[in-house]
Amino acid sequence: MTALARSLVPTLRTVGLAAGLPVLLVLGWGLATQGSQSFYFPGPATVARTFVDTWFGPAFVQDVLPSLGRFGAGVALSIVIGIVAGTAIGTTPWLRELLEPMLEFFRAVPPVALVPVLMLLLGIGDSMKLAVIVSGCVWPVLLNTVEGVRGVDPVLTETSRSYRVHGALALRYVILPAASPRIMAGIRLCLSIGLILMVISEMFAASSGLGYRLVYFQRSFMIAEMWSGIVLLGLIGVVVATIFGFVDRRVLHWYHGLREVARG
Amino acid sequence: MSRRRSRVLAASAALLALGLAACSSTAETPAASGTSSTSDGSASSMPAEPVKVTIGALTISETAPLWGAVKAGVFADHGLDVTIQPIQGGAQAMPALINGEVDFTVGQPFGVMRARDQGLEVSIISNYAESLREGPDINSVVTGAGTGITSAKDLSGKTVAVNSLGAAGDLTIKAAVDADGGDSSTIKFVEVAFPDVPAQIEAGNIDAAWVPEPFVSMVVGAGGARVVDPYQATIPGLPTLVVQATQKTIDEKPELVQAMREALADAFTWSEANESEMRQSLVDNMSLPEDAAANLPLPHFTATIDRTTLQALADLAVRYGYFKTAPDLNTIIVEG
Amino acid sequence: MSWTTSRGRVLGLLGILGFLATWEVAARSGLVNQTYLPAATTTLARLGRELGTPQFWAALGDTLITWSVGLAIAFLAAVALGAVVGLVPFLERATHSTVEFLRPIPSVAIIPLAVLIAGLSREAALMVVVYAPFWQVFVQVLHGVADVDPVARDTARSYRLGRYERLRHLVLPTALPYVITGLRLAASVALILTITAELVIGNPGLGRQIEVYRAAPDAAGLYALVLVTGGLGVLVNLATRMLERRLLFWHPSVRKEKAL
Repeated sequence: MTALARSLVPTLRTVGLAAGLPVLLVLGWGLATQGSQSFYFPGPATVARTFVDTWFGPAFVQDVLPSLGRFGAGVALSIVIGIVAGTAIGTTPWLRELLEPMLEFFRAVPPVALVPVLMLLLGIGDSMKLAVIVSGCVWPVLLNTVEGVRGVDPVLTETSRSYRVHGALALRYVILPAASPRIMAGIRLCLSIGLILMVISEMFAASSGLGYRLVYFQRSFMIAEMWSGIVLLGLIGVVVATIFGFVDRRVLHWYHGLREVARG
Repeated sequence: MSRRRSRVLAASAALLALGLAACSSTAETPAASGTSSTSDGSASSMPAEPVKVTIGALTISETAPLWGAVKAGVFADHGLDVTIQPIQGGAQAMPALINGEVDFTVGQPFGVMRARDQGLEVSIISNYAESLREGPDINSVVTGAGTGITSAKDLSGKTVAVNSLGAAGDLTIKAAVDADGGDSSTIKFVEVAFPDVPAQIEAGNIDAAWVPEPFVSMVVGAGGARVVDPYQATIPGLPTLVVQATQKTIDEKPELVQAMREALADAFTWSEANESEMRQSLVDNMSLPEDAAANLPLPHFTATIDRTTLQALADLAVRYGYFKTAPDLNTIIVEG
Repeated sequence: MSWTTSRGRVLGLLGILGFLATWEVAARSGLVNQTYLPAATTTLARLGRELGTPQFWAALGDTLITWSVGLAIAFLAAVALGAVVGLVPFLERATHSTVEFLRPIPSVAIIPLAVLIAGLSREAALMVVVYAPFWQVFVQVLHGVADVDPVARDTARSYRLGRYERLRHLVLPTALPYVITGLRLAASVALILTITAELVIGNPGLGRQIEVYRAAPDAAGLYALVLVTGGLGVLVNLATRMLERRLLFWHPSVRKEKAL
């Protein structure tokens, strides 16, 4: 019994920490909307009911899954492009100097303003939507990779050089691992920007998807449905962050491990 | 110069009021504008002092008479000091109307029905613009060169673009296709903004698209063709824009609403008599090139509400399942 | 910054010219229709005319004010809250799930609400502009604070450094690179959101002018302004980089660049 209690306490604490604030916030929301009939701020019960009605059913297959597919593909593409290009740019000073002004320029152009050009070049299908996602969320990965690669401790690179560790070997075993904390921080940002851009990309030339639905609900003044969409996006964000946290611990286990050891 | 300085001052003041306090400070804006308009509205003896009125209007060519007539002083003659607030889309217009930031909006009648369907108390107080009952209409379904689409029924099974799905555009297209012997359920509708349509038609990414002028002329000029004018084909003379107000404004400021109706009627008489002046506002307010502004086909402007066309739109929307229950025009339309 | 060396300037200029040449050729050769994407020279000429109009400068001023106010609110709030939450382990664990839930919600989705609360004004745009950059800086601050070297922390403790000294000599130097990167990313995201908000809400600024040209339709005007937004972003980044060099002169990534 005591053994059970002892093993239960940490679990309860974790659950309490994760759920405590959200529960408080939902309660506060419920109290704030109690009695008021603000059209734009429905209570949590209304939103919860609408959530089930709206998203549990054919909408999940028609709108949510295609959106998630585009999000996953767009983010994956951004990560690959970001790391490959970022490593090349970070380790090659002349390449960085050649491309920097143009990269800075494109990073600064709002993806919404780029949509007409992307539609012109890529049409109105999924490739355009992927390009919109990539055009926005490749930058945190790319920038962080460049910074991470450049920020590698000079002693480390000098040492590996004196041991004649060169090229791909140095990249695989010295530079990328040393840069990986920064790269992972970039990927974390990329994931949240990707979700935003998934919504934005579906606002153009779409007839399905989460972003399309949100805009449709807005335009139709279906406010509870709109809120339920926002909640769904938040939930997707939590799931994505959880998966990321798991991967992050696997990839950076040496890094976190190092900290743990030093702490102990 | 002093305006710029006051902006910088305002910006630095906002910088000081940091954090989440900034959000609460913003909430004062609508409240402040609300109180000012009520105090103005209580001055019901009109000519004494002009009443401040804000009209939200989409930045589309059809709002030209409004800009022109305001500038020419037509509204001032009715004791109205009008400010036009440009609005990007219907989704932004409705919240602005409800929180009292704008007193009236010029928008699509379908939007009012949809808002009523969701329980928002918004009504039509006056007509604004109607599609043309004969001749080439001001909006049309157009197609590119060599698609082989010549009539409404050919649209069956094709990809057709509209600016926003679930509104009067796709509704009247479906009705036109079915009336022509086609099958509207096989049409694949996509959303493409009007300005992007000519390029997408040319690239062959869409088979046809519903657009207003000047995009109809652009597509036709590039070798395309008009397929069907869906408004004219299904409900000739269907209003494209109406003037809307909240039920609260209508109940609390009947004199203001009536003055607005009369001013609008005069504005349309004025714009008919002063067409070149009215078209100049296309250049001044909507950045249209001079020659395009001079030749742009415009709808029929009128303040008189035609209930039969709006009833036909409501019935059509119910028939195609856009609304579960028929919109009640007796509550939606409030005439003087 | 690579533009401080003459080789960097030459190479950077080459990159820009290469891009403009590709654009020009693509338009002139008919790869894309010039009605929809005018050639680089056409767009640049239009940009020159645009720079001569007072409306352009008024729009630019409006955009810059919205951007700077939004960024300042987001940055200061995020640093303050991020530092508090990051330094107190209980708070970090208690807010984690909520932060992860709120962070990815696209600010474009709250536009109707922003309009309802603040009207079609700069304040409405600010609500959209502040949201995403706030979380970007916030997360970077958390990362930075968590990255303090445990050995250094223990050393500091064994030397009995006070709370203020630990913050000043331990947390700040570790977190600063993260915070500055956060600021740099936030500055450009805030600019993008400022212009997006102007496009969608219609409050005065470059974004609204872009939408006006798009609807006209006036492709040369549209892309002239898109060039301006990109150029603005480059300037913003130059400024934040300069700040980075001032504050991080001791960090390997900055030191190495000087030696180059």
